[in-house]
Amino acid sequence: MKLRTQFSIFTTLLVLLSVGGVSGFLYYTERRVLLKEMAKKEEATVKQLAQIGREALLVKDDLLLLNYVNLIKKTTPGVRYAFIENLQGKILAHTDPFKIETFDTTPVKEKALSSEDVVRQTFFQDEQILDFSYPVYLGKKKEAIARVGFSKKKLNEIITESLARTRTRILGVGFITLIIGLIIALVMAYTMTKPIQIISHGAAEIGKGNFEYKLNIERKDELGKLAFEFNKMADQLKELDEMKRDFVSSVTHELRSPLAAIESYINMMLKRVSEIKREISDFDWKDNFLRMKKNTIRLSRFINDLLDVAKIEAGKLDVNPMKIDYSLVVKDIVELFKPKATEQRIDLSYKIIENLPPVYGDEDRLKQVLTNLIGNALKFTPEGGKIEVKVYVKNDAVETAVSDTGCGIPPDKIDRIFSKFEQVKSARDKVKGPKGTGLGLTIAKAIVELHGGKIWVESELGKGTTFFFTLPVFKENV
Amino acid sequence: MKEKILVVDDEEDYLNLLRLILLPEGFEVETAVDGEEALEKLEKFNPSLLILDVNLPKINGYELCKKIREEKRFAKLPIIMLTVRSKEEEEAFGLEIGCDDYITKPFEPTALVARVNAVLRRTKRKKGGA
Repeated sequence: MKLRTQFSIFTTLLVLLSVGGVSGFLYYTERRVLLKEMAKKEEATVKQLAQIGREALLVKDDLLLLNYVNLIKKTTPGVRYAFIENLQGKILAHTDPFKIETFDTTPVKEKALSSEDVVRQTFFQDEQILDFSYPVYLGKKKEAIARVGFSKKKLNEIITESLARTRTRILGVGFITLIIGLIIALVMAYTMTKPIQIISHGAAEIGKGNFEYKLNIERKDELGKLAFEFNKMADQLKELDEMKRDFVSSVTHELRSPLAAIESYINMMLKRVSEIKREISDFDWKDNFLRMKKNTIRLSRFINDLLDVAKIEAGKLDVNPMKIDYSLVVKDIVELFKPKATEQRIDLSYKIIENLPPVYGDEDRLKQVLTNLIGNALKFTPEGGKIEVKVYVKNDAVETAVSDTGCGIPPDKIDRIFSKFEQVKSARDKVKGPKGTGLGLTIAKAIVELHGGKIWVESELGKGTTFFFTLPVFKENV
Repeated sequence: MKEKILVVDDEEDYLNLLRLILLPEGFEVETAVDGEEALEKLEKFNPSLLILDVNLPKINGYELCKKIREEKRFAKLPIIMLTVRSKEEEEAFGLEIGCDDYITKPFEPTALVARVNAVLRRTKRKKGGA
């Protein structure tokens, strides 16, 4: 079922329930008030009759009494009879003139005659009758009894009629409230579910890959917050998508360009081989083959990096640490880069403290880390720059610092350089030749951490960058 | 007179390769590794053809091509773009920008030479006609 329908049904039921409840309550209290008033009125009637009876007895005016009982019958609805009787039950005045001077024959006479206050009794005579009696005092002496009888049926009719009016009023008000409530409920259901529809549509758009899609919901409530977070998510997705695309394009370049170079060289050499009869002298076979080899190495290194990253992601990259002479590892790698540094007119040097303790590490993997850091430094350091590799002991660990005088890393990018595929774009644009794919530092970080070490970077824009990493000292019995 | 060709590519391997292919064909070859050097060499060397790699540092090949076209002296200079990306996805864009032909890496030396000669002939004919 649609949310809007659910919401509408729910609110409609709620409105119905509350209107019904309030109406029922009003009806019930109105009925109680009515009954109470009725009872009060009935008592007042008989009390008043007793009062008049007292006055009439004092002045011995029977006519006044007669007039009054008749007046009661005329003006008070539901009165069946009203009379005054003496303590012997002899009727002094009665609404029925034929009953005057006769004796009271009602079945409740006994109790009525002995009444000291208002006594309420019921009996049946043609119909259900509600009888009220009240004594008439002359001084301290009880002289007579005032009696008023009401027809129960009539009384009920009066109440029913009055309640019917109340009911109509309550129903009218209830109906109007219901209509207004329903309209409000439906409007609420619409305004509440509309943004959800918009968000759902937006989610579908983003699902289709349209990351430019923006939700336009200006609200200060939870739905507004949801829309805001949703837009933020879309931005994030867009960024990720761009990152992925950048990566794919660099992969494309990094895989295809070397391969294409190899192929083109092979093409060219094949052509030469076919023309070998024409010219052979000034053609440098060795150099051409070396170029092919270099590109092949570059390609396989990249593929290895990709594989390493895949291993890191799967948690399957492993190191096989053992006792190694770390200073030899550093010297090896620095010497390996020397020719390239000289070619770029960069001063590459190392400084290793004497008596460096043996390191507990995986030689091949550590070479990978150093290759990456020195390679990066060479990539980002301009001609005439300086790269220094320092190895020393600090806090019971062997620390390596690779510092360059390159372009530096912008402060806003420094937190992200160890993330996968991350390369500072401005730096990337400055690099000639092979650019790398932004996997090296991710791998270096994983390797250092698998050794139980730490890797971090300090950089000043335009001045240079230093990468640090620590390695555990080899200890017997570890 | 030997035709002069300026080759711009940031990867030295390709510069070397093109030199190896074009020199024996009787062309004079000059090289540049980025856009800045290319503009410099254009002035100095005054080539009759430019071979331009798309993926260049600082200014990429397209932008460089556009920039060169904006200068009146080089408005008619024939340009062949070099790219590793697939031909279909780039060609439309590149030709729009004003390059004369396209060569995708890897290439056959024979095909490359043929393209170079074709573009040079075409430009000469245009010049002759004008």
